[in-house]
Amino acid sequence: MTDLIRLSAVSKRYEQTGPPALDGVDLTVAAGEAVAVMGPSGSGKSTLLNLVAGLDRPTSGDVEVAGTALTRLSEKALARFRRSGIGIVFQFFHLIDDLTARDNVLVPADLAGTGRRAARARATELLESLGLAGRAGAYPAQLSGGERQRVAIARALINRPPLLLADEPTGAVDAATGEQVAELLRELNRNGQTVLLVTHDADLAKRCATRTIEVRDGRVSGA
Amino acid sequence: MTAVWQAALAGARRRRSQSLVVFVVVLLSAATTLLAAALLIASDAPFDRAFTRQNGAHLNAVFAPSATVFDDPAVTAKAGPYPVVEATLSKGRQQRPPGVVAGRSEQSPAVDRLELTAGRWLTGPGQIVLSPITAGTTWKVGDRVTVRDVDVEVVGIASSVTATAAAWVWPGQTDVLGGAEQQLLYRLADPSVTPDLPGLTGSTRYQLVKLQVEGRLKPMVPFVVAFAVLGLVMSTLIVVNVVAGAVVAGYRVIGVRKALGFTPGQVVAAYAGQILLIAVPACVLGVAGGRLLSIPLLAGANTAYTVIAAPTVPWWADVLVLAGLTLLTGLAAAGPALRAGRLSATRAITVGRAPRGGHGFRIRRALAALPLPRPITFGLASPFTRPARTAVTMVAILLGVTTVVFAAGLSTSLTELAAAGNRVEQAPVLVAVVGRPPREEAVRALIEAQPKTAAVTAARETEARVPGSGLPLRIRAYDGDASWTGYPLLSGRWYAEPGEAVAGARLLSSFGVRVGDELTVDTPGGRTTVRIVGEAFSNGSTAVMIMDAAGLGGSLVWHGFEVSVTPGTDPHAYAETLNTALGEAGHAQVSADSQENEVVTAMLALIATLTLLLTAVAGLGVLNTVVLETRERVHEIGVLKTLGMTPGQVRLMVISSMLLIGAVGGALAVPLGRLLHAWSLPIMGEAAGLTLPPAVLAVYRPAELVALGAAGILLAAIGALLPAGWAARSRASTALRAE
Repeated sequence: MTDLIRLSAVSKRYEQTGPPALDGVDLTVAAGEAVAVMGPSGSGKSTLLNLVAGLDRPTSGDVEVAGTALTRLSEKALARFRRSGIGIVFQFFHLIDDLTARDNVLVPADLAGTGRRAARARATELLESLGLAGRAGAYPAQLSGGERQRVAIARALINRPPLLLADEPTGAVDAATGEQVAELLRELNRNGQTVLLVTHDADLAKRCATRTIEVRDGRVSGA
Repeated sequence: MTAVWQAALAGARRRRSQSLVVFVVVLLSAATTLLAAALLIASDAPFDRAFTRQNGAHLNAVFAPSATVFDDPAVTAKAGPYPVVEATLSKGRQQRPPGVVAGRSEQSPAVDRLELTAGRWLTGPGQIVLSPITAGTTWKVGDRVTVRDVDVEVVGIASSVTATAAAWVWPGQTDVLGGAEQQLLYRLADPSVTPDLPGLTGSTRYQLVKLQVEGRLKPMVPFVVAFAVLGLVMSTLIVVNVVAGAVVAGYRVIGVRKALGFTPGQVVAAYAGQILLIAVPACVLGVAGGRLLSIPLLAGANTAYTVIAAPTVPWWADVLVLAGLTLLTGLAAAGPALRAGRLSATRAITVGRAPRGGHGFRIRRALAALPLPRPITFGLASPFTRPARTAVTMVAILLGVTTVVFAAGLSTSLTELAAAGNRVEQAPVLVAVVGRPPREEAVRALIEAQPKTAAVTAARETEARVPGSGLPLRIRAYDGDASWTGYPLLSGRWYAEPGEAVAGARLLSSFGVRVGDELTVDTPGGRTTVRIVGEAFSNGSTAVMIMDAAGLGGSLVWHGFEVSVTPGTDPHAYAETLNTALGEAGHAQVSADSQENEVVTAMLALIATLTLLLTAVAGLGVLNTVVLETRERVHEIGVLKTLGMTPGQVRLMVISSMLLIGAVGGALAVPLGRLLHAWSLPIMGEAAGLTLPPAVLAVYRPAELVALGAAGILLAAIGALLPAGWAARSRASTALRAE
């Protein structure tokens, strides 16, 4: 299997004098894997996710995703890479309040310049597959927590990214909804979607991931 | 109290960009307000104030050299006698029209205290002090000029409110003052009564000077006042918007503080304190800056008012602006802070976290359906989420663009007015006959012999009276047909024969006559009746009648020649060549270089400065709104960046958020600016007793109006540019962490 994510000696410091958030991390994730990143608060999990997503830049080392060296890309190129290369699901959904579920899902496709008809067809397909066909015209405030997270997942997948990043996807929903979200992620991975899941929920990691790595004090074990 | 103070201090420090915007807006508003106040003060009876300050002369009397000067009981103070001669001043090839040169050792006698605007007063022979009109823009202190073949050094430039002389030399400068008459300057107990002074050869009463000065001044005052009022309204509006916005942006923190135990009073104190911490230093700096700016601006206004004097802003204007603006910012902060203070802690936190409410959902959805790039539809939808803020921003743009539309129209009108008054196109060269005795026919022959002369006519004048009326009337008489001299005809036709006349608006209104009526006038040559066959534009302050000299006999006073040149001829080059040919017999000058034109130039500079300031304040209003919007939407921007929005698309989205406001503001501003122009111009004309020609009123062309309307979009885009850059550069990960 080819590596989809490759981190080589990656360090990240937010302050010159303080301890590094990540310290010489080496990590590879193969295409089709579902990897759970675990660790306590402040261990560097979110920093790792931000670097893989191209939302932040490492202080040293190289980050390569789907064959693209992110450290060498401009902000514009990084944004373009995120559109098609990565889908992100957040703990607090981060939906845009005054757009309907369908319009929220359409945003990355619109930004990528996908044709309107094709984008709408793909959005309808995703919403139907996630059980949201009847909720496409609803605003986020009218949706339950589980529905919001499913809309966020649909939005993350609309451009068919090779990599799905999920940052505590069940952190803001109740247990039953969390179970639904976990099942959804597992189903996606079964269908070939590479998933990098950041969580401190060992149960979720066990159910969704094919491999688990631990981040502690900026260092990775189990990579 | 310590907690309140700490909260105020922390608030000012924490929101640095917001604090910076408040600081700059208050600073600029303080400067604009001070300037507006200064202009209002300067516009309040400038001639009368200058006349009082200088103890101006009610009567400028000239006696024969040997006459015995008597005083009249009506005289309360006098200065002189000063020896005076009429002479032409020259510097190299530059020559000034003939004017009075007075021998005078005192700068500040009992009457006519001269105000120095540059250099110093005379200390002895070999020196000369020029009036600002004589100095113009090209003659400076330190230059050497020639007067009656005597070389003297310019040591100062001084102003006399009633223009008692064009220049002053030391009384002992006998080579200049040879054969002089005697000038006496009087203050009178009753200025309306001219005393009986035997031996008088000439006199100028201050009422005439005042009439002339105010004739030029009156059209300017309403527009300066309009600009000042616009400045005051805009500054107030934008300060309130900026400060209230800054407090509303802090609602979440207010909620947290309330949860920690702050009372509503402490919330108000903390926020008013936070704003005043920024606003008071900004006010002080703004007033200081306004004072600095007021020096050239007031000098411009004073030039426009033709009462050149050291410009001053009274100290109480500083205090008024400081106190007024501080109070305004305090109240603007206290209002929303009080509202927030009354909310429950949880409600304040909710409002602070989710300021968007339910506004604009449908509009955003409708816009999303448009075939436009998504960043643009996101941006265009933004104004609908905060209608109140949008309205205030739109008003700022509306006022800014209205100012631009008004200023553009006014500039064109003033230029057209000056052109109509000077008749620069048709009779661009004026020739004065200087030599003694004057040789008019020789000068005419020299002008006619000059290559590129198209036409020449002699202009003569006489004072006249309408029987039964005390109002003065001036008759300007030309040799035969002078329709080519370019007076814009407002109605009727040009005179065709002796006994017919064209009248100015002031004459028609003063004597209650209309085109087609007959008017009987008493001239020094006798009583005559003329038929008024047309109304011509005239920008003079006295009633004027233009007619053929043939009907008036020999009672006319020589005025000069008006010359038109062949097409394509440069009037300056023509006048220079003609001056060489004329030698001492006469002096040619270009009518566009007249004092009125300098006034127009000063006014245009004044308009440009004020327009720039007001549009800058409007631009800051936009900038503030975008800063607030961007701050509130920082999280959404972070999400969009995460979803693949490039920095360029973020910039486009933020700028687009102001385009609709700019377009609507600009579209509304065009008719408003035109209306203001159409409303104020006739008032200005009426104030000056002028009927304005159509070219002065109809100055807007359709293409110009479209371009001026687009200024709203431009202003909005410029105001949004800076925060758009900040938003584009912000890191998505930082934005997602931000509340």
